[in-house]
Amino acid sequence: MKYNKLGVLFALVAVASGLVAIFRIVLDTEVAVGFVTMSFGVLAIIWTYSAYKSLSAGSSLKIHTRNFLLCLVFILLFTIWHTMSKLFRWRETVNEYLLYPGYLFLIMAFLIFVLTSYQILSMGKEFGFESQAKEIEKIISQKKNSVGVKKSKNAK
Amino acid sequence: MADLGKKFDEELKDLKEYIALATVDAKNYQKTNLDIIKHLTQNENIPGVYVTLNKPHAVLKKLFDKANIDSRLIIFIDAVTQIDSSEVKRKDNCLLIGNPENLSDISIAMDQAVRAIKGKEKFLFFDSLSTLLVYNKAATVARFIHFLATKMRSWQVKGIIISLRKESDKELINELSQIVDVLIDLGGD
Repeated sequence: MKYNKLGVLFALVAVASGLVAIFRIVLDTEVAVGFVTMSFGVLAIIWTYSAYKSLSAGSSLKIHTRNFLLCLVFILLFTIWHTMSKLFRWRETVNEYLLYPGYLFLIMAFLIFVLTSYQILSMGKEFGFESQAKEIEKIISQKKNSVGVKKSKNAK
Repeated sequence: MADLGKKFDEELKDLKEYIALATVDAKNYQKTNLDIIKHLTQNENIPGVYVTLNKPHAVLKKLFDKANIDSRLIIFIDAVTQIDSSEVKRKDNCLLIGNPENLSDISIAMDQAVRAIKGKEKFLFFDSLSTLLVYNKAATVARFIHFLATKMRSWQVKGIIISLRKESDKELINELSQIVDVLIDLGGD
């Protein structure tokens, strides 16, 4: 327990130092934010990919995880594109239109987000048992009531 | 029924929640399942979840009706009716899941079904360990049952895992006997 707390403390210190270092080395705030976002994005992708690998083939959760992974990939691509474009001033030095591929990545991410949201909606409908549970509750209370009535009749 | 009820009461009377691994021989398998469910729903009057990897829920419902078991008290998770499809479908109080290899969906379904049932007392009947072994590697099954046992404790249910008494499954059953609260032998040779 003590070691766990120490570990969390060290991790927080490491993340904070990393952030300070990025902002010190990269003087442009937008680029620095881009690098920080990218590192979080990569971590999110690593975790989601490990989850994807451990889930059963063909399961709803695996399909959902795959879609979520695709969203993360497109968002990361957008961040990479945007940061690189800022860092190397592509819009000024190469072409103004180099802004648009980044937006394409963002559009793709949101399209897949919609698909993923629809899938989680279907999962909610399929895996949700609330109405059945209410029905069961009703039957149980009816049974208890009828037992109570029988007992009181017998007592009389 | 009376014998089984007695045996159940003897083994589990002091436990409000438990995880029991029940072994049974092939000849008595169906009758034993029916007796346990009847004991839980009729004698103890508690609702629950029945996970079937063996018989389609439609067949089970017919068997339950024949045995005077109130199937309205049970939510079915059926991983056998749509064995050739990975799609998840809903049918009344039953969730049809692709096949017994789809352990992720079975886990989500069990979690949702058990948590949906209100009240302090509920059961989870898992039918069966032996079928799970036909579709999955022994190590995967052991890991899954370990996960299931942990979940059953957090759900605070009466958990029953049925297994056919087979020589080939003996090692796994011995391994799992450490995880479960009670190992019940419900007849056989």
